[in-house]
Order: sequence, then structure tokens, then C-alpha cells
Amino acid sequence: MYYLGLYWEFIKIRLKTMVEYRSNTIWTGIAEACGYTADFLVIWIMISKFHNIGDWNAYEVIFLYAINLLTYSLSSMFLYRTCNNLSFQIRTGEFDDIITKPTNPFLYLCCSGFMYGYYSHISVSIFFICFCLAKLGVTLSISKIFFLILSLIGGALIQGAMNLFTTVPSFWMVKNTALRSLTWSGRNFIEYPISIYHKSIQIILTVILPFAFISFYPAQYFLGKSDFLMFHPIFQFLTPVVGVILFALAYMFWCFGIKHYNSSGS
Amino acid sequence: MYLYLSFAQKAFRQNYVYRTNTLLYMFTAILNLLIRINIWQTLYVNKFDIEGITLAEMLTFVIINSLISNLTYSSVGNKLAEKVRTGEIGGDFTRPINLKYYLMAEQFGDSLYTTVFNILPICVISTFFVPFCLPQSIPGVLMFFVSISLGVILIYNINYALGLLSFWFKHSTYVNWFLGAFTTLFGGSAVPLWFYPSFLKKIAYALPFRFVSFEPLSIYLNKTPITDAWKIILFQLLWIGVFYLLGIFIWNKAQKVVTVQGG
Amino acid sequence: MSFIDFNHVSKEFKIFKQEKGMKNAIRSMFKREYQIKYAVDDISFTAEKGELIGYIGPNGAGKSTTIKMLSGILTPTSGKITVNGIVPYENRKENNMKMGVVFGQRSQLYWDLAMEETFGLYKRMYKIDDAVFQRNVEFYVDLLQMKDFLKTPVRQLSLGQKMRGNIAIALLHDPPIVYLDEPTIGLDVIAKSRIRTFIKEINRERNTTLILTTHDMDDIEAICNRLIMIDNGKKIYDGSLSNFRETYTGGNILIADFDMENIQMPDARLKILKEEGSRKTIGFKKNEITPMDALALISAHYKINDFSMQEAGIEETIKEIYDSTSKTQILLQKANEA
Repeated sequence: MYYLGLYWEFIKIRLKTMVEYRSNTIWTGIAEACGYTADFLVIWIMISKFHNIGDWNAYEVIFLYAINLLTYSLSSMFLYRTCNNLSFQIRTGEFDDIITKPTNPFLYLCCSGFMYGYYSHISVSIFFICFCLAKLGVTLSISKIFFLILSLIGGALIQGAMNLFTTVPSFWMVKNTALRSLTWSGRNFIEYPISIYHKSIQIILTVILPFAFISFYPAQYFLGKSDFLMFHPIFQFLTPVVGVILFALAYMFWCFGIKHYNSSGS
Repeated sequence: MYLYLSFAQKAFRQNYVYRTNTLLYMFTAILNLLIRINIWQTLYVNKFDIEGITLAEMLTFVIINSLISNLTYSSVGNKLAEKVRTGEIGGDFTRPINLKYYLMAEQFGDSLYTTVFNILPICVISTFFVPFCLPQSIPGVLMFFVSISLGVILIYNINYALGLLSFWFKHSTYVNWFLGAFTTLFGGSAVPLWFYPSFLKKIAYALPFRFVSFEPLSIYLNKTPITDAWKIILFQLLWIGVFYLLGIFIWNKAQKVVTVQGG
Repeated sequence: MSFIDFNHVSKEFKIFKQEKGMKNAIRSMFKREYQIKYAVDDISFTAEKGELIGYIGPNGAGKSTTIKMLSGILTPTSGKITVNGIVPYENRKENNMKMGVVFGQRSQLYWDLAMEETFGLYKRMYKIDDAVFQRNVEFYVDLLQMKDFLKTPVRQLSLGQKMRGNIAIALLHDPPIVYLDEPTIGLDVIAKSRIRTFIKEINRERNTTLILTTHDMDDIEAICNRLIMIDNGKKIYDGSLSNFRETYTGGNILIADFDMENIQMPDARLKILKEEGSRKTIGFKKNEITPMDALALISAHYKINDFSMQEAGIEETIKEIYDSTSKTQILLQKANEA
């Protein structure tokens, strides 16, 4: 618990860098915001022309996409550097520097690698979430807003967990960039409602690689939809639970990876 | 000339070393293609054609786009920016190689490699799963190949010219982001320009981005008849000229401004 | 109970065979062939508080594996290690609090921060008392002459400055044991000297135990009082540095500039250790042939333009030992006899 102060120090250091490279931070933020806005616009153009994709209209799909982006950004603020650099750190021996410190290696990596740059992603996605809800005429009660936040956190935990699952093998595999691209694919799939895919893919995305819990199921609760395919409507409430369980499993996997590192070096 | 070909070859061969990586990237590319196919199939449910485009044509569009998307990708701008940031550019100035062509050759080697490895699986998918449209005529196909080659040259030149701006903006990866945003929105490759509302369509038609992939694809699908295809090629050459000259102009300016940041 | 107890420790690694070709690659996913290599093969030693140990051996001998086990990075395959009453690979956090590590080829400093701010971070990390922190910072900054670059961001520092910074933060929390892995590599003469003086001073003041691995024998000669040598995972020498000098060197060196390059020694007691064109470094043992006789013998056969005589440092001896396995056997024998 004492170390919370230390970890916060690390995050503060990263935030200081953000201010130091002010103009770069701002311009990168604007550029990224433009990039994602272009993505949103393109989705809107496509679906509006065709009125619907399956049971979903343009604003509903954008809402889905925005939740995906937001949960990804929240988790990547802490996990992007951690996961991306792990393979490199193990190979160069830098990882030894981390496990010889009296801090928890996972928390240390997450906080010292905190990426402030996601503020633009977060801002854009929150904007579009609110925009879509407004356009669809959905008003949320306090309890619904609270549950939205819970679902977003749950979704972020799932994103993080999937990221970790494909990163931990770096402890015993040399090159894992291809494995990492699996998470990228998973995220691509859930940018659109999974009802457009074949049943087998729907099952995979729900039960095996639970990406669908990040946005597809919870979104239905807020948009008042019931496109549950072959699954039970209760799935729309399960995101926070799935998130916690998955992340706990991912963290255990991480610990297992470190144990392996301890017995076989690099 | 042969020197640069060898750089392309080297990049190609270096990629070959990481074969398993390639296999998995191929797998990802196939997955992405499947996603896009599913999207359009769902969109077209209960509709025959929209704006004169049928599902078969749209799926063909998506497939060929997937094939050429690696060729029309260029990170030359980013590489330049990185060289400027690390100061490596200083070393490049002293070498007797034209940096522009070196970077482009390297990029082409990389891209060709991914393209070649994506061709087979994509052909398999398109033959068995999708109502693929074969080209209508030989001259049409030839025009398509000419046009897509020009499209690739165009995006390389655009990327290079804008990448040069990194001499002024120190950490300028965001220039590439802006470029990406414009290409997505006005390039017509994610969603063809035929489906665009008139306001955005007008802007897109004034910009060069549609000439990279969209127009060549339009020629292939005969949405742009052969008689009009010549106009497209002319426009492509024009835009290439613009960015080529821009590239030279900025390069000359850049040489005067060089401040090499050491480490 | 010794401060460090390294008891019959072995560490084995599985070296997997690299599979070429598609068929083998797929087969290797199910069953991989491997060889077992003993990086550390039944080594035992103990150390008391305050010892300055030089831990040396040729590349691949098992030095870094040993250090990694002592610092808790690796878990031994068999045997037991205790440092300061703690088993490093079982109580990592506790052990990490009480040790300092310096890896010569890497920096633990933070790129964007100034030295001062890094100190502050480490103070929190190691829960260092305010008074102790103040005292140590002043002491180290003074001894390592860091005042001028305390406020400079780390990315702008020279290699020597960064190394001094790394050593300072490794010792900031008064660890009773410090591991140094090639701490002076790549540094200029002045920087090396500063660091060696600092290490000796810390050991004097705080009775800090130090284990140093290095390829620079000058480091060893300047700092250590005890030498442990390993080769192929086995310990081949463990004793004081002075004993090593007496027993194994007792040698002299004659550096001579000849007229030509092709020189043969006229006597078996004279050995050419190093050749740089027409300059030869010749080794001999004082108890076998006197320096005067050696010089006379050589100059009777060849014209010597210039020369100088020195006592052999441990470097040459160690080189000899690394170079010949038969010598290793001899050493082992002598060690057993002693």
C-alpha cells in the first residue's frame, strides 16, 4: 500500500514529460483525434447509405466503435509500454533491472510506462459516445450511468487481459509479434456488431476469446437492443464480472511467466 | 537503377527470414478481409444494388483492395522523421545514394513481400467464397495495372514530400496521422466514393487521394469506362508531378535547414 | 553463520536444438530435443561481512549466472543460497530491499529526469529515512564529484557521469551487499579511478560486502582482497588476492622492441606472451631465470632497441589460465593441495 505513492510518482513523471513536450503532445493529440474522427465519419457514411447493418443503425455502430476505442485506450495507458517492450527488455537483460527492485514488477512497469498520449483517443470516444446517445434519444439515469462506467472499466480490463495473454509468452518465446497481432484482429472484429458474422465466429468471440463482452453485449443494455443471438440477455450485464475474472487470470499468467523466467533465464 | 532494385530485393529477403511472422500476418490479413466481406454482405441484405453497384462488384472491390493495400502503404515519411529525430540523417547526407529512392525501394521490397504472400489465400477466398467479378476486357485490365502502378507512385511521392516536413517539425509522426486521416476519409478505399454524400464527394474529387486506389479499382470494375480511363491516368500523372516537384522543392529547402540532433 | 552462504549450488539450463526446415519445426512444437548444460556445477563458498570479492572467469564460465542467483533473479537447480540471512530467490522483495546492483552495460537511471529527482524516487522506493538519505546524498555527491551535473537531465550525461549516478543510487539505501557487473566498462581512466576509490571508501566506512565481476584486472587489483575464479561452471580458485599473486605469478615481464618481427625465444624458460609487430612481451619466472640472465640471453641472439622490466600483474597469469585447460587442472590440483 505504501508503494501506491511511489507508483503515483511515476505517473506524475510521465505527465511532466507530457507538459514538457507541450506542442508535440497537442499536435499529436489533434492528429490522432482527426484520424479517429475520420474513421467514425467513414462508418457513418457507409451505414447511412445502406440504412442499417443487420439490426443496427449508423449511430449504434459508432457507439459500439467508440466503446471499443475508449476501453482500449484506458487499458493501454498502463499496458501498452509494458506489453510492447517486454520482449525487448527480456532480450537485452533490462528486465533483470526491474525484478531486482523491491517493487512489484507488474505495477512498476505499468506506472513507469504510463502513456498520457491516449488522452486524445479518450476525449474523442467520450464525445462520440455522448453524441450517439443524444442522436438516438437515449437518456441515462444515474444508475445506468454508474453501470456504464462499470462496464467501461470491465471492458478495459478485458482489453488489458487479452493484451497480457499474448504478451506473457515472451517469457519463453523469442518472437511474439505475430501473437500480439491476434489481439489486434480480435479488436477489429468487434468494431462491428458480431451478428454479421458466422455463428462459429460469434461463439469464439463470446466464449473463447471474449472480445464481444467489451462492447457488443453491454452496448445493447444502453441502446435498448436485444440482439443476443444464441445467448442469454443476461450477457449484457456480465462485462464487469468477465473483466475482473479475465484480468485476474491474466495476472496469474504473468506471475507464472516470471516464475519461468526465474528458472530459465533468458 | 539496379542499385535501388537491389535494396528492394534486400528488404524482400530480410522479411523472408521471419517466415513464421509472415504466416501469422497473412492470417491476420485474411481475418480482416473476412470482416470486410461480412460487413458488405450484411449491408446488402435484401438490396440488389446501391448507386448502381452490386454486391458482387462491392466484394470484388474489397478483395482487390485488400491485395493492393500493402502496396499502397508507405511509411517512408515516418522513416524520414525517425532519421531526422535520431540524427541518422547526417550519415545519410554523406552517402552517395539518393535517399529518396533508397527509402522508396526499401518500402517497395517490404510491401511486395507482404503482397506476394497475401495473394494466394486471398485468391482462395475469392474463388470459393465470394462471387468475384472477372475483368471485362483485356484493355481494361491493362489500364488497371497502369493505373494502380501510378497510384503507388503517387502515394510514395505524397508520403515522401510530407515526410520531409520532419526537418521542421521535430517529432512529426503526427504529419503521417493527418495524412492517414485524409486518405481514409477522402481516398475512397474503406468506403467507395460512389456512396458518399455529395458534399464530401465534391471535396474528395478535388483531392489527390482517390487516385491512389479508388480510381484504379473503378477502372477494373468498369465503373470508369475505358474511354474515361485515360483522363484518370492523366490526372494521376499530374498529381505525381505536383508532389514530385514539391518533394524536390522541400528537399532543397531542407538541406539549408539541417540541424543534426546528436545523442 | 556466514554472511553469504553459497552451498553446493548448481544451475542447469536446457539448450534446445534449433530446428531447421518445416517438418522439424512442426515436430519441435510437440517434442523438443535438448541438451543439459551446467552453467554452475556444484560450487560452494562462504563470505563474511565486509569482504571485497572479485569473481572472475572466461566468458560463458558461469559468472553472471552466479550473480543472478545471488541477486534472486534466477533460482538454483540444486543447493542453497543464503545472503544476509535471506534466501534471495524465495524472498525477493525483502532481499531486493537489502541489496544494491550495478550492471555496467545498462543504466537504471530515468531518461527524462535529473539526477536529483532520481535520488528522490529511489528514496521512496527503498523507504530511506530522511536523515540517512541526506547523509548519503551529500557523501556520494562529494566523493563522486557529482555536484555539477546533479540538475542535468540524464539523457545529456556522459557515460562516466551515468555510471557514477548508477553506483550512487545502488548504494543510496546503505545495502549491506552490493553486486557489481562490469562497473567500469567503457569508462576513461579518470572515471575508472574515481569509481574504484569510491568503492574502497564505502567498504571502509560502511563495511559493505561487495562482489565484483569484471574483465578488467586492474579493477580487481585496485579493489578486491579475495579472488574467486570459475571456469566451465566449476570453481578453480578461491583465496586471497595476495596469495594468488604469490603462488601463481612470481613472474616478471620483459617488454622489448626488436629490429624484426620473427623472434624465437632461445630458452624454454622464456615465453612470448604478446606480440605487437616487433614489440614482444616476454614472460619468465624469477625463480627459474634471473632478469639479468634473461636479458643477456635474448640480446645475445637478437638486437634489442629498447626494453622495460615489470612484475607480472595477475592479468597475464589469468590469461594463461583461461587459455589452457591443462593449466586449469594444475591450478585445481594446487588448490586441492593447499
